[in-house]
This record gives sequence, structure tokens and C-alpha cells, in this order.
Amino acid sequence: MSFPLIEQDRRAFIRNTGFCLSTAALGTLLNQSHSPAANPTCLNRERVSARAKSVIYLHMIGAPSQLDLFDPKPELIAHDNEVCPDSFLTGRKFAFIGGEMRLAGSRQKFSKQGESGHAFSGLLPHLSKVADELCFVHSMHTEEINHAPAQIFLHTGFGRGGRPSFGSWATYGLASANENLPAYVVLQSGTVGGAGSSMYSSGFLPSVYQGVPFRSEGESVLFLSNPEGHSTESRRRVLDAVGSLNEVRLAEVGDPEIATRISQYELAYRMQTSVPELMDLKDETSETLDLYGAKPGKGSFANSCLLARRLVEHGVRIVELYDSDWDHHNNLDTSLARKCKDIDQAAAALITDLKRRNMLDDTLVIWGSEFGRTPLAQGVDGQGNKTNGGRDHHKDAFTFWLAGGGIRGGVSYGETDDFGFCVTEQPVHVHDLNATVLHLLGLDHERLTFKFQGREFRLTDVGGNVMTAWLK
Amino acid sequence: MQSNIVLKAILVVASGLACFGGPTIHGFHEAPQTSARATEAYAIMRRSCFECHGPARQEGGLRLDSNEAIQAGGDSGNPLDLQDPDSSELMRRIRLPKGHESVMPNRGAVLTEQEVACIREWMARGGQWASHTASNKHWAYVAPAKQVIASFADQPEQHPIDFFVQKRLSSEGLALSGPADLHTLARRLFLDLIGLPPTPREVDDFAAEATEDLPAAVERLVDRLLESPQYGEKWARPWLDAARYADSHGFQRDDLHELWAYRDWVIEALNSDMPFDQFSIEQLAGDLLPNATQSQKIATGFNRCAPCNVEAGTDPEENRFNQVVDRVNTLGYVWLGSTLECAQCHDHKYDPFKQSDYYGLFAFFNQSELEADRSNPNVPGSIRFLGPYLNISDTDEERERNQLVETIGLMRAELESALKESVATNTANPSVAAAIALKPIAFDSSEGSGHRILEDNSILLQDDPPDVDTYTVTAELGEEPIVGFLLETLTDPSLPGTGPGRGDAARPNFVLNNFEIRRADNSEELQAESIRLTDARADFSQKNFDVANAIDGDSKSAWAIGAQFKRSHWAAFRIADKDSFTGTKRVSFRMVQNNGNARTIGRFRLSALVGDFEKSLPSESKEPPAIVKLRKKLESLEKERDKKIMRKTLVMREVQKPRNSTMFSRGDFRNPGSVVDPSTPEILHPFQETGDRNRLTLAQWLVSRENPLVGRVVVNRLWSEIFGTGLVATPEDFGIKGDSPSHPELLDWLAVDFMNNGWSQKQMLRQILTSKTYRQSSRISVEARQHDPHNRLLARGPRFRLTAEGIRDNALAISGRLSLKQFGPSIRPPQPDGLWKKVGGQQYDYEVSAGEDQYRRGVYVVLKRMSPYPSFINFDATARLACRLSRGRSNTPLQALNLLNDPVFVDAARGLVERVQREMPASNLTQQLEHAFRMAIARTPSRHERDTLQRLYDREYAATLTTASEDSPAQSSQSEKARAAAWFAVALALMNLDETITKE
Repeated sequence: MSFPLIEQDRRAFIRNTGFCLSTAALGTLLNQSHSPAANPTCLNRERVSARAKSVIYLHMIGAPSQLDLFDPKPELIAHDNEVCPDSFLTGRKFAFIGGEMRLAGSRQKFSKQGESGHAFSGLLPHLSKVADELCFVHSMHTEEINHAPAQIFLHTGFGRGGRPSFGSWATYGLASANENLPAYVVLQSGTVGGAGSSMYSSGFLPSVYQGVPFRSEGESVLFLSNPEGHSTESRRRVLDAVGSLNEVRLAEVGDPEIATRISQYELAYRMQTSVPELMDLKDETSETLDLYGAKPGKGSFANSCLLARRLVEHGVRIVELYDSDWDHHNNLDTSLARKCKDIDQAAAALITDLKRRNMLDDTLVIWGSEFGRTPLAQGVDGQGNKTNGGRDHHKDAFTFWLAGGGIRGGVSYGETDDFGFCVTEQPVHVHDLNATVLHLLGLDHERLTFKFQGREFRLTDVGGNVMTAWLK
Repeated sequence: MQSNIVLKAILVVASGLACFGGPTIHGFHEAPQTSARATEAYAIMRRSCFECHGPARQEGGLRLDSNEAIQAGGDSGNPLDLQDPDSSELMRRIRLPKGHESVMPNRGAVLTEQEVACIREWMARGGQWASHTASNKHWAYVAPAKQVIASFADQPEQHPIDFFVQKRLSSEGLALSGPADLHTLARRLFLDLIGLPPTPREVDDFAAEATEDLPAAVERLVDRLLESPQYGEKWARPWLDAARYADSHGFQRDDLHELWAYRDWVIEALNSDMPFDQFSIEQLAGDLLPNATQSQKIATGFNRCAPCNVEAGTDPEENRFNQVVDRVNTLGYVWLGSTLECAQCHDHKYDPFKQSDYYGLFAFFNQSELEADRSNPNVPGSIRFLGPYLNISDTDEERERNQLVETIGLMRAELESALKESVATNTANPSVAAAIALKPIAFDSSEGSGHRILEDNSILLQDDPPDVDTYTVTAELGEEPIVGFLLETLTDPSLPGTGPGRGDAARPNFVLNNFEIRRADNSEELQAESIRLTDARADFSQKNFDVANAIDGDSKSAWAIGAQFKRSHWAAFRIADKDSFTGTKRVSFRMVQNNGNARTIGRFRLSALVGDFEKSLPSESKEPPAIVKLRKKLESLEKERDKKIMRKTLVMREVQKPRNSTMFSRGDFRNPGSVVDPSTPEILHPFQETGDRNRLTLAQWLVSRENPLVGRVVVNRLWSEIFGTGLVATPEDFGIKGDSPSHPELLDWLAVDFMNNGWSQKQMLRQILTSKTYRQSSRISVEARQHDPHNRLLARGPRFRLTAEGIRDNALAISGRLSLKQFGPSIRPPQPDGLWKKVGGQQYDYEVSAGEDQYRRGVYVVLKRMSPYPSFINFDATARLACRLSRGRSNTPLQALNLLNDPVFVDAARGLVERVQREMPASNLTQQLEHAFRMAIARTPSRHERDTLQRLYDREYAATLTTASEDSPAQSSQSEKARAAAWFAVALALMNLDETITKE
């Protein structure tokens, strides 16, 4: 399959394959643009900026503490447990904490890593080793302060449900590069996030653009396996009959939707083989498995990372990994250490592995969450005294990192104040991040639109600037 | 024949249209007149250009909405060239291909060839806007007025729909297609009216009648199906999409709520053909009607379908604001076909709605009760869902429940007196060992969980449980020397699965890591080591979770009670040094529960043990058998009672003390602006002052005959359900950016007819379905596909895929498994395991509905917004997080997998096999195959089709026989197995045909 898809390829796709087909149906849906070419995306001109073919998005559900991982604040440590001056609190909203608020310095040990010398918490020994591949963004901010709205906002650019996820927008713009797999795949370790399927929903875009969960338990894709006692050969015979009867009907009534249906059944049949093959890690070397810390047959973040590499290798456009249990209102130190252990090695391995396979330049890796955590303490001990147990939700300043896919490594972007309350330099709104992700995929976030309910909607609503400073 | 479907000598039609023509419609531009052309060009440019080159913005210094501004030109000079339009900048830019960096319009769809031609001609004829052009109201804001159209006089017998459709077709040199085959037409009518397929018998009956007199047969069938109880179930689906009806709140705490009575109300209202004006008024403001009935209050559930964010830490006012916004937006789409939502933040960019109009409407909805609030204003985590709920009276459940409650009351009195008696005999000696319940003085949860202290001195935790929690209880001791403490973990109806844990209803376990006690007479004592406990006992401990773990000082080990859930338990601990509490009045207990997943105790009671430790322990055997028996009986009755829950439903209710209503700067709830009164948009018909400005008068205003939009909007939606696309293809947007009507006169004629016929939706459907236009064959010729791929001209009948619910209903009906049981709580068909597990909110076990319930229609399937039923989502249903007036119709491989492998559809295929054997046991294979085919798609298979099925049968039979003979010796069982496999393959193939899931 050739990259990038040019319009001609795309038309060929639309004629021949499955996942792109509904773009053709788009016109039908809207009765506004009658030819596939009228789809606003995927034109040569717009793909000029394309640096990445795929995105692997590591989403830490619950929001890790940037102050304990990547953004150390000596002043905050110096003023640990002091009552927070009012000047920092006016006009700020918190989800839980109230009353007298105390500053909470990190108890993690930080050290500078790599040539770039970015600070890493001691909780991330593996990731520190790839420090020079990462572009840190310390100045992220968002608009929502509770998990589900913030998760939906990060994904769809809107704090309530019903709009398409960035992955849906991207695949709507790009189509799949592998006709045997969905273009947007979701992997899960731990419990599904609070916003559930609305994080990877296609919203008002056709359902072909929804994120398809590949599950580590049960069937890897819902309804992938034949019913019990119905063999692959039986299935082939059934599909031959269905195809033949559909052909007859197509000749009779002339509806092109029937032609589409015929090809979708063939694609489904191929998926029944290609997906299990892909999900099976047995052909990975033990060296690779060890690199990630992956154990075949177990649902874990490490397995998801390795799987993500395999999916991207096979042309999947967007792979999103959700890892849950990062909401540390209390017991921050122990919980954070445990969670870092879950992801540190595998996330670092992903970067290393992509790089040694010459895939990192084409694959954008993103790590982040729906928001960050406060410089203020949260948590109450049994006697009702406030303790340094944990941290509350913080939407005004948090950290993301990006790597590969046209991103400059070893860069640190944006700054926050001495305590980490506020962005002081180079603020990055969620829309800016999303605009940049689309840009790296070769899509113009202002032109990637879809008309719905009388309006040309886009992922970035009415905002979004491409962060050129991050780009190679 | 009904008189209202025939055009009489003089036909009254709607007009008032400035006939801009459909931009995507072919050949609407004959007989050019300068002013008509200017009007048309103006409409195109208003839609596509003025946003950036109009009064608000002048990109590139260019403004196009006035002659003077055009004359003045922009940065790159005059955009027009009157002598040679083709070399003008404007023409150059609008002719560029989509995606070119200089193409205009720069965003959204490029102009169609016809539109480009129209602008060119306008330019060639002088490129001037006529003085009245700009002041013309957009067609949709001009009421459909009555006009006499003389030309109808010649064709008195013609169906009005056919008149308009043919008029348009003949202007294109086209004509209507011939009628569809009779079996296809029968199936089309069944699917359109009741959403279920006809049986072969019903098809034959219709065909026989129709051969005599087609129009009469159609009319009779339409009338019959309109009276079917299944009609309302089919037509409720689009309305419930618009109403964003679901069974859960949405967001992180996606708990289930009870609103199904509203869904049932919709089905019943549609079945009784409640006039649309009344249908609207009851849903928007039934509670405000004089002497509102229970049914009218239930109807207000419409606006309680707005998602509600109850995630811990949510600002209740922000949630309320978002819900009101949702209500205003929904009203805009559903009754006005208008995208009001843009005006939340600023004046609408294209349509004549101002931000003040938006907050005028907002004010009408601003007086309803808060639906979620903090139980403790100082604890943000204490937000909880309130309602308001209406208790539904006079249900069967209620009567049975009342009976049970009475019996239980009597039995409880009996138990109490028996207990008293037994206690009296037991405590005859005051020195006997006993447990004395401690009255809690203070309770604290480290996570801020709410609580209540009950009369029996037990503590009941409330609200959404945190993952982990540590409780601190302070209590005062009595005079008697204490030997130990008793912890009772108790069940309670308010806990998931009755507890005693708080985590989930299926496994309400708790995990108690540490149980500590300290003296608490002064604060120093609280800092000290806890008092040493020993000799831990419990009525039950889970394996590896022995009760001794609770006092071993290790915060990893713990006491738990799996799998003895849903019953009370106790643990007792002896004080190691019996003098530990001498002289102590006040003690403090600390209970650490750090397992996660809310494995915390939901209700518990602490007691001091006095006298002999052993003897003071609770023991069931202590109770006389009579009491034990009574307890058991009571327990089972209570279970029964809990199943007969009080039926309730969410309703709208106004606050006692009215709120102030204001504008909100940039739509942000934290930035209130100037005060606004309830008001309706200026561009629309005036508000009739009849008293209060509230939801009721707003609803009356909406369905006033003066409203230019509502009639058109409603008939357009009905039309699009039938034909797949509305006369206006954007049902939610009749504004300037919306699609122009393909048949403007027809749209207006229908709108007026609808209102003249008492807003009857059934009458409108009858009108549509009895037309020749509807009866056409849906075959698509190559020319037609090229000329009019989306059938906007209606030169053929509709053909499109069924909806998600329609596909399931149809499959179940074909299989013979469908249950037509109506109404009541939502049902749960089989779905893959684990889909309902997620962070936050109550954890529910997905239990498949028992018996026939799992086979009921899709309209009854539970919709949990954050994990909706997957096979519906695959077929373009939505999670109903916002109002939707049309669904997509995608065509994907996941749909193929869904129909081929989802156990629901696999079971349906098996059902079809059984049904064929049941209905035609004596027939030969060919007849049986034909019967199965007719069941699936109504028509008789062609020879070729039958042969294809036969071949599939034979191949599958032979293949199975080969494998079966390897593992089973008995020949009869081999052939039986092969027969079953062959039939299953055939049924599965039939269920998966494009035609089976398509309305032809």
C-alpha cells in the first residue's frame, strides 16, 4: 500500500475496499456532496505536511501528577505543607478540595537525563533513557475539570458527548492503509475510563470511523468468531451464497450499496483471519517480549504497547491505549509508583522498538491525560487532618510528551509558575494539540470539516494553532 | 377512496416561497428573469459567501452583500467582470476544485455547477442586487400561505403528492417509475408502518386484493397497519432519537435512571394519534397544564432525557446550565428546524437568531428544579442525583407491593414481640454477657463519603462510593467493664445488592485491612498506639481473608466475606489487656479499607462486649427456631417486595422561588450578563400574551398555526422516514445554510394539509403512502443513477438499509422468536461480557432478560449511554447524548461480522430453521427453502436464487456428513447433524442478504 494516499488511490479504495467505502456513502448521508471527490480531505495539497502515517496515543485515564513525574518545582518543595497564599487560588476551580489549602511538594527524586537534560522522576528509570526522543509540553491546559467531560473534551474538542473523536476525524480524513483492519483501534489495560465509548465514538461521522476496541479478553473484536460448530469452510460457503444472491439483486435493482455490501462481507471474512494473527504475540522474539515486559495472553499495558507497534506496522492509522487508575486523590506516592511500574518499561520499549525498526519517524507517539494534578494537597487522615495524601484535578497546567512522527526530540516546550499552578510561557490548549496532531498526519484542522446540523463542524471548534516549534 | 387524498377542483396550496431552487437540484433554472436570478444568486451567496464577505467580516477587504460594497471591491479589485464574467475573479475562485487553496467558498462544500451557472448569469445580466433582494426573508421564515393554483383544476382526480412530483419530473423530461412488485410493496408498507415484515400469508392476501384494485388495497392495508399496536413502537424510534431518550445519566457516573414510562408514553401517544400540537405541549409543559394528569406529567420526561453529569466534583450549577442549553438546542432542532445552538455564544452567523433570542428561550427553561446537587454543600464529592421523580400510581406492581408491605408489617410486629419475649428470658440475669451497641458521636470518612446514623446506632454510608476509604468513629463507653468489641457489617436496601459492601450489586464484598481502637478522651491519646486487640472471631471469613488479618497491623492483609454477600456479618475482638479502657469515657475506632474498587463497608454498627467474651458473641443458634423461621419468611417476602419496586419516572418540576435569567457572555455559565425575560426569537411569529411566560405558553407558541416552521419541519421528518431523505435534506436546518427544498410547493402543501387535518401524523402518513410516488419500483436505471443518484426528484421508490433497531426487529420477526410484549422497564438482550465495566458510578451486572423479554423489540432495549448496545452502534444508532433528527446509513465490515456472528442473530437464524420445520414439516426441501426465502424477504425466489440456496444446502450437507462420519458412527445421527448444519447455513445466508436488511 502506498503512502501517502493520493486522490486517485483514494478513489480506488472507495471502489474496491471496505473501510473507506462509507466516504462514498457520505454523500448519501448528507445529500450534499455527490461524488467521493467532494470529500474535503486526503488531497495532495493537504497531505504536504504529512510527517506521520500513524499515531499511537497513550492515554493515562485519571490524570497522572505532572509535578511528581516531569515538572519538578523546587519552590513548591520548599514551601511544602504551608498554607497556599490566596493569590494563587482566586478564580480557580477545584473538583474536590476546599477550605484551607496547603501546598504539596513532591517527594520524588528528580534527575536530569539525556543530552537534553530534561528532569525525570526516579519512578521512570526506563523512560529516562529515551529522554532525547521526547518533546515535553509542560504548558497544556484544558477547559474541563471532571474526568468524563475532560476526557470527552480532549478527544472531541467539546465537553459533552456526541461529537467525533480525533481518531475518527483522522481516519475520516485519511482512510485506512490496510483494507483488512479497521483504521482506528482502541486497546485497554485496566478498567474502561469514565467517559466509556464516547471517547472513541465517531459521533456524527459514519460509524465506520468509530474506534474499534481490540480486547485482551474474550473475542479480540466483538463478533469476530464464527458461531460454535460453524467452520471456516462453512462460513466460506455461506458467504459464497450470500455474495452470489447479492450479485443477482445488484443486477436486478442497480443499487451501488449492494456492491459495497458484497465487498464488506469479504473484508469481514479477511478480518477474521488477520485480526487474530495480529493479536497473537507468539511470533515476537523473546528479546522483544522482554524489552516491553510483555507476556503473551495477558492483558497489560506492556502487551498493548507491543500490539500497538504491530498494528501500526500493518497500516492501522490510529491506535489509542487507555491505561486506568491514575486518579490519585490520596496515597499518591505508593499509587504513582505502582502505576509508573506498569507503564515505564513498556512506553520506553515502544520508542526504542519503533526506532530500531525505522518506524519512529512515521509514527507519532503521544503520552498524556485529560488534565493534570494540583500543587495542593488533598487527602484526609483518620483524624480529619489534612495530609499530603494526594492531589486534586488540575486543568490549568499539565504535561504531555510526544515523540517521533515529525516531532523534535529532546525539546521542552512551555513553562509553568514556581508552584505549577499556571502556564507562564507558551500555553498549549487542547485544540492546539489536536491541530498539531492532524497537521502531522497531513490534515488541515480548519479544513477537515463535516456538515452536521447546519454547521461545518471540526475537531478544533473555532480554535487551534499548529505548534510549529515542536516540528522537525 | 378518502376524499382528503384526492385533489378537488380547486387545490389550496402553500406558497410564500421565493423559489430559490434547490442548489443540488437539476434544471431548476429555466425561464430566467433578472430579478428571479438575482434572488437565487443572492440566496446562494448568502449561504456560501456572506459569512466572510458580509456585514460581520470582510475577508480580503471584500464585502458582497450590497451593490456599493461590490463596486468598491476588495484588496484584489472588483470581483466581477460584467463584460466577460468568465474572466472575473469571482468566477475563477468559485470554479476551482474542492481542496484548492484559493477555492471559494474556502470552507465546506463547493458550489454546484448549477449554482456556478446561476451566479455567472446574474453577473452577465449586470451583477446587481435588486433593491428588495436583501430584504427578502429566507423562505423558511415565511408562513406557508394558502394560494389557489388554477392548473390543478384540470386534474381533479390526481393525488396531490403525485401532482407536485410529476410536475417537477416532467420539467426534467422524466416520469414516475412503474409500481413495485406487489410482494415488495406489501413488505415496504409493513416495514414503514410497523417496522416488522409481513408473513407470506399476509403478502399473498395483499397481492390478491391489489390485483383487483391496487389503490384500494393499499388504503386498506395502510389503515389496518396504522391501527396496529406495533405502529407506535416503530415510529417512537425517530422521536426518541430526537428526544435523546436513554436509560442512564451519561458521563462518568453513568448510573441507570428510570424514564421508561416516558418512552411508553410516546408509543401510546403515537398509537392514539395524539395531535402533534398536543403531543408537543404535553412533552414540553404537561406539568403546567391546569389539573395536569399523571400521563401529562410523565410526558415531560422529554426534557429529562438531557444527560446529567453526576461525577464527583462536578459543579451542580454548571451541570444545570448545560442541561438548559441542551433543552434550548433540542427545541430549536425539533420544532423550528433551526440551529439555535450557535447563538449560545454569539449572534447566529447566518440565520437571523440573536444571542438575546437564545437567552430569551433559555429563560423559559431556567425555572426547573436542580437535578443533581451536593448532599453537603462543603463537600464537592457529595454531588448526587436527586430527580425529581414522579411516583407512578395505580400500577399492578403498586397494588401487589402494597399487599406485601402490609403482610411484612404484620409479620415484623410478630417477630418483634417474639424477640422481646426471648430477650426477656435471656436477660433475666443482668450479669450475663452481652453486646451493647455504641452510639456514634462523630463519623468521618477520609474520602468525604456522606453518611447517616440510623436508629439502631448503625452507620449507613451514602452517595457514590470512593475506591478506598478510612472510617473514623468516635463513641462513648458505658460504665460496665469492657472485654471486647463487636463490629457488625449490615445489609441495607440502599446498598448495591443490599450490601454489606459498597462496590457492586453482584459481589457486594468489603475488604477491611485494619480495625483499630484508641482512647479518645484527649487529643494526645489519638496520636498514641492503638489498643492491642486479640482473639479475632467472625461468623464467616473469606479464604485468605481471615478476620485475624484485620488486627495484625499489616495494611495489606484483610478480612473479607466473599462469596457470602448480601447478608449481614460480624467480627469480634477481645481486648488483650482488659484494663485498657479503665477510666476511659470516649474511644475512637479506625477502619482502614484500601483494597480499591469500593470494597468498603456500606453499613455497620459497633458494640462493646461486656461480661464473658465467648458468651457475649452473637450466635444464630441462640435464637429459637420459631424466630429463625419467621426471619427467613420475612426475608423472602422482603425480597419479593423489593422486586415490586414503586414505579417512578423523571419529570420536569418548577422551582418555588424563580431564578433570575440573564445572558451569559460567550455562553459561559460563570459569566452572567444583563437580565433577560423569557422571549421568543424576533424573526418568528409574535408571542401571544395569554398570561405567564413559562414553558406552557412557549409550547403553545411553538405549535401555533402562525409558526412558519413547525408544520414543514414535522412533515419533512415523516417524509424522510419513508423516502430516506427529506424534501429538505437537512431536517435539523431549514436556515440559510440548510438544504433548499427539492419540492418547495409540495412541502408547503403538506405542511398546510397537516395543520388543517388537526396535526394528525397518521393522516399525513396515509397521505404519503397512498401516492403513486410511494408505490414506485425502487429499481435504479443507469441513467437515473447518473442523473439523480440520491433520488431527490423521486422518479423511483425508496430503497435503503433498515435502522439498527429495525434490523434486529426484522431478524427476530423472521425467526419467529420476536415477543410483541409491550411497555415496562427496559430489557437486556445478550451482549458480550464485560462491556458495562468502567471507571466510576455504580457497577452493574449485565443480566440478560429472562424468558421472552430478551426477544422484545429494539425500542425496549436498555440504553446505557457510556456503553450502549454494541450491535445498535454498529448500525449507526447513537448513544443518545444529544438530539438527533437523522441517522447515518453506513456500510461496514463490522456490520457483516455483527449479522454473521452475534449470538442474537445466530439464534435468529436457528429460529428461522425451527420455524420452517414447524410450519412446513411435510414439504419437500425445495418448498421449504422457498418458504424460508419468502419469510426473509417476502417475495418468491427466482429459480436461480432457489438453486443457489439448494447448492449451499447440498454442499454444507455433504461437508458435514464427511466430518460427522469421522466422529460419530450412527448413520441416522450423522445425517441429522448434516441436515441441521445445512439448514443453519441456509438460514444464516438468508439473514445476511442485503435485501433482508433493506427496505426495497
